Amino acid sequence: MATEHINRRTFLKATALAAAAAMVQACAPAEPTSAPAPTKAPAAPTNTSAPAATATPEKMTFKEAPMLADLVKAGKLPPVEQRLPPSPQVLTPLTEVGTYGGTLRTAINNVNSLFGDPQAVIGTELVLRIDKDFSTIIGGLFESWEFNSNATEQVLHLRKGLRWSDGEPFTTQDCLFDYIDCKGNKELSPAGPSSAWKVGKAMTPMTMEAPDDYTLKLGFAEPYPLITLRQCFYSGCQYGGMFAPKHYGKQFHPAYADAAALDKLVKDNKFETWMQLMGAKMLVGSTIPAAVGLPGMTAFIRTADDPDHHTYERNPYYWKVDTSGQQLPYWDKVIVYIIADKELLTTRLVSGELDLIGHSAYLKNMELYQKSLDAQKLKIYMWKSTLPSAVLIYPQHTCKDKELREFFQKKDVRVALSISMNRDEINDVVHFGLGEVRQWAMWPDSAYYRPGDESHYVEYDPKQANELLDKAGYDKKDAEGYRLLPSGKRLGWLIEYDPEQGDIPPTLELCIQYWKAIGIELTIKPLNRSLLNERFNANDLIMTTWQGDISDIVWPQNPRAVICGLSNHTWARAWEAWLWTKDRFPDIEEEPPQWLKDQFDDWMAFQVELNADKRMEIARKIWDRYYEELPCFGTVAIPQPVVMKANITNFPEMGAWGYSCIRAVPVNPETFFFKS
Amino acid sequence: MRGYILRRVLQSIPILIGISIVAFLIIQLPPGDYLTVYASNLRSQGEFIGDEELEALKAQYALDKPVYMQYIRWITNFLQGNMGQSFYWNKPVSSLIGERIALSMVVSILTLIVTYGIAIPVGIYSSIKQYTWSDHVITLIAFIGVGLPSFLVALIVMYLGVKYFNLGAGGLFSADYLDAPWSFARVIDMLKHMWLPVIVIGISGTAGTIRVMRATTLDELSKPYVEAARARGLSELKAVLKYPVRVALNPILSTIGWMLPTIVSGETLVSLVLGLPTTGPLLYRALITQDMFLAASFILILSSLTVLGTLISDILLAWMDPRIRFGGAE
Repeated sequence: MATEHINRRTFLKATALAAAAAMVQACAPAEPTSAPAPTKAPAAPTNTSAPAATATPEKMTFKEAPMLADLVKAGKLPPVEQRLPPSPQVLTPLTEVGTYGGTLRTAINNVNSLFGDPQAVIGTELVLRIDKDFSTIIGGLFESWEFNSNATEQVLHLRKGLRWSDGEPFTTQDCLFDYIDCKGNKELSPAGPSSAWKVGKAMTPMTMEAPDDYTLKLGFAEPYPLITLRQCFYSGCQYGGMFAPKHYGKQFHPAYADAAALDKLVKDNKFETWMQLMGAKMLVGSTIPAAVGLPGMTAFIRTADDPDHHTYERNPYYWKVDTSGQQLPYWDKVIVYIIADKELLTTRLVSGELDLIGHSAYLKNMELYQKSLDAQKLKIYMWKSTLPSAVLIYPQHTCKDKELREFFQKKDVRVALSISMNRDEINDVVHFGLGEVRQWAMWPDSAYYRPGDESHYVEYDPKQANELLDKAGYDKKDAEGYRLLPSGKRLGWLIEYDPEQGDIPPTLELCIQYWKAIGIELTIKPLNRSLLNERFNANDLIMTTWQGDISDIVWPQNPRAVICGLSNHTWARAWEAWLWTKDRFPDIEEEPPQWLKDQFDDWMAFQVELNADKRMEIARKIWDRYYEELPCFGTVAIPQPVVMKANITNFPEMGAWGYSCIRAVPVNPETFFFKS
Repeated sequence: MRGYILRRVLQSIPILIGISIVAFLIIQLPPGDYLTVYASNLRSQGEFIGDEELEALKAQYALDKPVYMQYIRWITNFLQGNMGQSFYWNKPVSSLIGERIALSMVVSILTLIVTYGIAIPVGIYSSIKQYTWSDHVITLIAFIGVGLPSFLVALIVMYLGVKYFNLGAGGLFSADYLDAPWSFARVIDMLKHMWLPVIVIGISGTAGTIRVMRATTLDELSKPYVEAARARGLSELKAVLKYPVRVALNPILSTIGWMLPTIVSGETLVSLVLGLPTTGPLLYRALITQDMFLAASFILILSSLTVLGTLISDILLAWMDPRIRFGGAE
């Protein structure tokens, strides 16, 4: 790339535009003849999915990696045909069939957060999985499923012949072990199973039965058609409630283990209780089995665990092959360094010591990455992020200050706050012009998107903003030009935010100017995340922010900002307490306005609606009310640079990256390889 | 001498008890506890944790008991060698510290050797050659060394290393030797990475020690007994090394005990910047996540080492300097 002949910004813009173009193409419906958009909504409940894998051709001969062939020769491992299921899943590599070998090096900031790049290179194995369109649901460990007519029962069919990474067979007994023996054990899981496996407002846990080794039956107190979304998301991973290696976990569980032996095991490992021992030995971090010795179903299994790195090696019993019959994965090893300092991580990337970084790659470092492209043989793919707004700003509609609460509850005021923000400038200054100015709304390829959603109150118009505030009754000003509240106090407030999300501070710095121009004094204050959370719970915040993460998989589980409540996308503590946890916080809760009650009721109806079209209609009503009311506002949508060695092959040029879609999982990391 | 040591040992017991209480209380000071951090992390993932569940978890970790009860439980376990569990890491505190301590000590001890190996001779040289051009150069370098914060030095050295010398940035092993068993090649690989942190951490200590050594030696050089030694025809080298230097080492000996906690904790800031798997960053992370037992145990260990180090220093001083020894015995 001839970077020298064009200036940096033009070049970056060009890259982004190219990415955007690719994005649009990727988003376009695959074939015009396919079903209309709404039915593309994930998991129509009555659907029985077709298995995702191509059936194994009759006479495929299987091949294995040299490192495994050596072990077979030495008699330490059975031959590949015996390790694979009778008909293993066949994956068609994106561009070409790969060659074995190589070590992939990546890094994380925080030892417990494997959801960054480890997911992107190791992949993960879930009950069901998201397809390459990042929306449709297909088979995972279970190849198909069906619901009864009112979706109060789901029957799942396990792939036959699967084996854990230590060679033991994987059966529905492993499912019962996790759900009943582990998540149902009051000592081990005081909180019970995760909310994914609880149904309705009463949060009744589902029931689980195993009619045979390959059939699993789940029962729900109320219709639960959307459970498939949970099964292909975080809760659907090992030890998430639906499966865990029983043959291995038994030795730590008092229901199975001999009391004296277990006691000794606890002591030898320097723990105090069996729960702690079990927690450590069965640990799964962000969908990836994360303890040495713990069997898993993923392509790579952790083999070493040091303070500064984790090492993963290929799973000899991995159950997928490529079209030429080679057992996957291609890479021998994955090393995940733990590098707490983000700048150090960047340094190691541009000095060629890391092979793939996405989670910790930032737009602000684009120039640096570009400079190292040739020297370190890197390439950059501009992926779409799951952030259709990098920052969402939440005025607290029910804050304790009576005057400010009255102020925020006026729609004109919220519109004024939104249109007084110069988003083009935010894009240029904070995101180097690589973002896209739009309101927080679904990306255009979403099943929940309708053209125009992104343009609500997004046009920069400080003049109109001033008029709106004047009309709303805040027309008196003090000597410095700030507006006055009815009590004569200056109109202004404190915004408290989590500084770990890097785009927030510079965006807020700009907001200080924008809102000063309409007579409002904004003060900003970074706050530790857990403290921020406590202050929110006590309804002590006036305004806060969070990144605008969303996807088709996540939204039906968690409405984010569309209805306040659940997670950190929140803008009215008192109403939220009334809606979601009625009578639990009597000091705080207050009855919300009618429109929000309607949102909540529709949300509940959406959860149990069986007909996909009708469900889409309800979703549309919910989104429309949200756009109309504008309870909070977004800034700029951003792409996600993914920086990697130029010879990494089969990595798609375009995809969706973010918490909301488990990183690159849908694109099959087990087929990535270094092309020599 | 024996009475002196006994008295000093006895004195340190109430100090240690006090430290253990303070260490535990400090961890309780910030609002919330590990469970609120845990709950907020769950919340950011869209998981709700109900009140009853939170209570059950609190009971399991004994966080629902009054602080003094928690303290008694922790300290009795601690005295029996059980430092408790780290919430955040899901591991026993002792194994967490254990797996990092060896590396921390290797880095720290190498740094100490380099520091003293350079600083003491250079300091003496500088004092003998006071106000010559070589003394000025040494002084200038020493002041820069004292003045520069070590994390900044780390960043600069790393940048130069990456940019001009094609060196790896941070870490102690290259990928090939990461999980390899110990071998000669692996030691060489480690030493290749080790000199960088050793220099970075050593710079300010070396610079400071040069200044101390120079000042104290100068104090002694002008004293009559040095003149007397010279007058009796002792060689200059012997006249300096045998008497003034011995006295000038006093301040260094009296602080050598303080190195003990540093040897164990390493330089937190530098380790963070260079990405070293030492114990410093572990403590840092524990404090941020309110990982109670890890942080409290760590602070107690470091404080105990400081007390122990001071004790060692005192004993060393008494041994070196009869004036202190006899002063103590009276």
